[in-house]
Amino acid sequence: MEVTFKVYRKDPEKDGKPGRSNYALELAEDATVLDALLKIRDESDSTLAFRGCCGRGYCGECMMRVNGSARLACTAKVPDYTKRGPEISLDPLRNVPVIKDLVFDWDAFMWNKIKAVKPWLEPDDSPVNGEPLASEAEMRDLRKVMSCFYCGMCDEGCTVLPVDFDFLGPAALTKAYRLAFDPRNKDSREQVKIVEKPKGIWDCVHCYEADEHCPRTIEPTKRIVALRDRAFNSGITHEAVARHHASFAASVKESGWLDEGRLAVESEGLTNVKGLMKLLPTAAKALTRGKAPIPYMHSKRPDADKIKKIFEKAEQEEK
Amino acid sequence: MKYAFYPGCVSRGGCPELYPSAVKVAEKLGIELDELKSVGCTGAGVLPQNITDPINARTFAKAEQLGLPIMTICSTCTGVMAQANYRLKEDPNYREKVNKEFLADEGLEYKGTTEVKHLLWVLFEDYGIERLQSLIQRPLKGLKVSPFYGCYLRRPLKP
Repeated sequence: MEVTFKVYRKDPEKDGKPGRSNYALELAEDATVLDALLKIRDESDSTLAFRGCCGRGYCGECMMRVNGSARLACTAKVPDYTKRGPEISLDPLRNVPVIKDLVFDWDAFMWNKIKAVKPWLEPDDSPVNGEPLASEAEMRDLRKVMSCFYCGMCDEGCTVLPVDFDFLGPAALTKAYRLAFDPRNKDSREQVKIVEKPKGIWDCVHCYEADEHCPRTIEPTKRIVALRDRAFNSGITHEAVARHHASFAASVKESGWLDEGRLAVESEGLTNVKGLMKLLPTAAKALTRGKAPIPYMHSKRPDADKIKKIFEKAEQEEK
Repeated sequence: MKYAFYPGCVSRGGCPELYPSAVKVAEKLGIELDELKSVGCTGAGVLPQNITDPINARTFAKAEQLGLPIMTICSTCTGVMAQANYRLKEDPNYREKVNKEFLADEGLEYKGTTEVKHLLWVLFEDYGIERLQSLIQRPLKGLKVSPFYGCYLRRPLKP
């Protein structure tokens, strides 16, 4: 099959301006995008820079955007991308500092954030029977997370990183989960404390893009949610988050559904005059448009008592 | 076409135009809505799963009793319910546990057959775009559209 690759180019040693090179290639039917890149470099343009290593979707080196979507070049089969025409565009990830062509700065993109969550285990000093133990069930869950090979697909899919590059991102938060939930860790609160700060777990909007992107089905969003529950249940929660959560829970418990007006004021804190003042312009604007839910003027759902019963029973079990 | 209608809190609170406009659209298209009134909040991804899965299972069981798929008009409700439904459908043991511990008291049981769909999916998949097109009275040609349907509408992508 004949395919034209339109590849993103940038050379800091020349003018450093982004451009594009087109390469027309004859490829085998089962060729991958990485095969194509190697062919280009070997046969037509040795100046093209890209990363690639294992060639079997294992190491994560060859992450790039194929026709706009993040893929591992070595597992992306060329025929899957030519259905709309014989052209394929290749670009570095979104929002990454590009070094040259398809090579970008992994440290800024992911490794610095992984380092920030203290990605190592400090075992208990006084283990039972000479070594720290973990049960099979606990390890089964952790092994899934440990199958992460840091390809960065989850961070690429993340919808927060494009607007806040300092957000820790799903890859680093999943790493934090791996340590916080390891029973051999002496202080599992440590990682929770790190990721509970701004730019951590509470900045996730749980859009589930990370889960949809992860090639190992590790479900980073599920891990972030688990870290949130852990932070909340062990009292390591930022007070604004705790207030928001408590108000939401109280409203569902008392009436079966959410009192939005109440949530707005109680999240700020009833004694937080400055915070409440901040709400006023929005509240006034909403009021004039008939869109302001008045706090505490909220009707109970029929069967609210039955919902409350389920709520309280589930809460009891958690403890 | 008939659905168990789950309007959610926002369509009755911060976005009050949503509820009546959805009802009017449904009326106009001949979509029957049976509103679920005695069911709880989905948890909106704020409350933990161990609390909201049973509350959502109760909602699914109520719709199942009516023999109707659920129709929502809120992206967050859709996403959270679809995720909960996925867990309950995929894992019969988990469903059994939730049924036994939380729904049995009320004589309810969720068998795992309820579908959760947003109005947009109802229009697209069940009503049909062509049928909808034939009803256009005022074409919105030349209008620049910036959609915010909410990413939760597409969760989970797995079938």
